[in-house]
Amino acid sequence: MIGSIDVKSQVEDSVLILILSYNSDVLAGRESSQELADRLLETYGARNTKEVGSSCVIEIRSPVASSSLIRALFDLWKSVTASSGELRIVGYPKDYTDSLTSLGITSLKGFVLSQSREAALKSLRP
Amino acid sequence: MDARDTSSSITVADGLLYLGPGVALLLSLRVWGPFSTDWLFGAKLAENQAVAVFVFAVLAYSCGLAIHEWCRYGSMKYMRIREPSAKPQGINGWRAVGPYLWWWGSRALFWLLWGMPLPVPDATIIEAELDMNDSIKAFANLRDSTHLQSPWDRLENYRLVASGRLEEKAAALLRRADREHQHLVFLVGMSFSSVLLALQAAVVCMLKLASGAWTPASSYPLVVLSGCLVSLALRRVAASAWKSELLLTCQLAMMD
Repeated sequence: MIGSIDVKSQVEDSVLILILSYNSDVLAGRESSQELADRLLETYGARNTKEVGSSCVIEIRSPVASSSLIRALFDLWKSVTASSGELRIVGYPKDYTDSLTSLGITSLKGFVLSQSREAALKSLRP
Repeated sequence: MDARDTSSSITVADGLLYLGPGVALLLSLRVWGPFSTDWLFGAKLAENQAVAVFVFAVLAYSCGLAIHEWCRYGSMKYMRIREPSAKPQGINGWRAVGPYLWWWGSRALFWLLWGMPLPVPDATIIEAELDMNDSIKAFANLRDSTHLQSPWDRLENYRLVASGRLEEKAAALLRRADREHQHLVFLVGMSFSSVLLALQAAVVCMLKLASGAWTPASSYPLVVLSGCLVSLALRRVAASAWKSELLLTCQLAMMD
């Protein structure tokens, strides 16, 4: 745990699930997006590739978001798509969704907002 | 080139940008019946043509500003509502019918009022947009830039922030992006006024039908049809201006 960023990983239906939680003070820091991205990429990179595929679900368990979080998610998406996978985002704070969609980032192939973990896993099933 | 140059060049066209859609909206009230300046300004004020024109211009400008705000809000919500994640899930049983109908209804309404072909950015464009966010954040010493929820605010604010430090060779790009933004604001405003004209004509049409005052020679259906067609055509042009503005501003961010 660095500061108050916490990334846990789980595997469900052979899909890696990253559970991200943080407090709002972390997002205000100048280095926060790098710190967030490093933590996510580290956990994603350490996955057991025999056990899970390259697609990934990230579950956000905090009520706030920021441009730092968007950049970290974008960095994770680049890594996931580089491995031919797709990224599903669950629990993105509702009050901040407009700023995410207005960027056009959700029109990127493989960057998808999902309403629940079940919906995300279902959409990743072959 | 500094920020002042940029803002003054925008101000020159400012009046027309907002007046055009405002005048179109006020004139569209004509569908309800003969336009009476007496009704609008009062008999005494309407006698003085200069004052009447001034009041009309102020009214039109205010309406134009309101239209601009509605379009900013509408474009943001239109982008949001198109998201598959905005669709209600688990449609099982009659209880889910309400949210589902609400979603379809609001989707149709947003499409009717503000729908247009949206730019489809690639990873490079997104990267440049994220750089713009950081630039705005750093310039204003903001904690965050997620308050920039309208798709146009980011581009406009970034150009203002970056204008002071960009080299002369970037000035042409900056001016061009500003011009594209002016085209976008004007076209979107005119498109919204046209669709409002069509909606008003449709309401008058239905009222006439209900009251039995309908005549086959009535021109209202034509007004509805032409208002919708003009609005859709303007939106297509506006979408192209939006795309150009996005690409030009992203080029600026990459040079910054």
